[in-house]
Amino acid sequence: MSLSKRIIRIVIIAVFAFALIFAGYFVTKAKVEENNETKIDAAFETVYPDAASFDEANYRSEYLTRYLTDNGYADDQVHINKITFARNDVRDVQGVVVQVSSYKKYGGIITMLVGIQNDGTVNGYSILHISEAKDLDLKVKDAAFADQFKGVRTEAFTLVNGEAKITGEIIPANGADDASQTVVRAVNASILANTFIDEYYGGVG
Amino acid sequence: MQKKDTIFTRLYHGILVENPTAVLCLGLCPTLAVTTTAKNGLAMGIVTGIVLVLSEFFISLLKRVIPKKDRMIIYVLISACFTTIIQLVLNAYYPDISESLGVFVSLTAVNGVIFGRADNYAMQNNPGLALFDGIGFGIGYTLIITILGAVREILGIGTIFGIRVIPDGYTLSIAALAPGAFFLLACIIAVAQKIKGGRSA
Repeated sequence: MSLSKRIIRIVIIAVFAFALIFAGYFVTKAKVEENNETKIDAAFETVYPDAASFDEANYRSEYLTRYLTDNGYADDQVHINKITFARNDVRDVQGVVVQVSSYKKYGGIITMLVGIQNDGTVNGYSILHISEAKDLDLKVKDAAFADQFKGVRTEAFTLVNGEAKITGEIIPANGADDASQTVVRAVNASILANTFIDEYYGGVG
Repeated sequence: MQKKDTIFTRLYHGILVENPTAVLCLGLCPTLAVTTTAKNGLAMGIVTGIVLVLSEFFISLLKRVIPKKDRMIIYVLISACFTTIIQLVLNAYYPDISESLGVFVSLTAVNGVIFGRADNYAMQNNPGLALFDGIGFGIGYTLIITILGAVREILGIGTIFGIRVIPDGYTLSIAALAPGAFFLLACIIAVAQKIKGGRSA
């Protein structure tokens, strides 16, 4: 069989394969978008159940990146994607919801929302996406691990093995040390992002 | 062998005689990685089974137009196409399973079971037999991967399909980790070889 015939056959099969994939994409697109929206709404509700409304904070992201880097959180380890103010019924700012992406040591990324009150108390976090997850990584979603952050006010959380003795110490999820470290880094960067907003913009966008 | 090949022998070979995991030892990467629970094992088995059935059927259907020298490219193209569609469906309708299986759904496109059956069977036989070969091997793969997931879940977490069967504190957490997966898979392979009557156990 000549080279040109072989190429033509491969191209024809490839075109059919791509057509099938595109058909699958268009059939599932609306449902995937709906799932994502539901997931984000639920995540906001989880990390800031008392808020009446949310609006995006305006800030210079390069300043925030520099601020985080100066405090030991390099942009290739953790990145703040978005900061949203959580407001009450009379539109006073109650705190912030930080959307943060933290990179796992052996590849993969965890993107999550972290709710933080004006005084720095962490409301909790909700994971939006874990890439390259192995099943055990998903244990960082479990209440047993996530609840350790709730209602805690600290400058930075640290992972400890054994028993947590002082405020801010977190016991890693069993079998998910890397994912636990990634979540702790994300929450700590979010706390710094809240401080950054307070220091540079007085807490109001 | 080919003379007496029937739908029944295809199913029998796929499930028992040539079981892809326990006998041929193919597709071991996802077998070891995602089988921390029975649910994950079952889901991964079903995903691989569907891709295997569709890939074998279409490769057999197209065998006269697939250039022999470029057949591996076509195998990848066809299995990647069906894997992508399955992944889209999982993302849309079963997002929890998609998240739980993670990158291993995408890696189904290059699963050794699929290439092995495509090259050794689908390319030499008619689409009907190839379809049932895919079903047999899909069931065989799903069976072993689900059993492994179930054993690891019972020993490592103390549950089976999420239902607690062993009290907290009496579990063997290493079963949920990679070394436990290797050890338990070896045990399952030994049992399968014994059942099959092989001498390599």
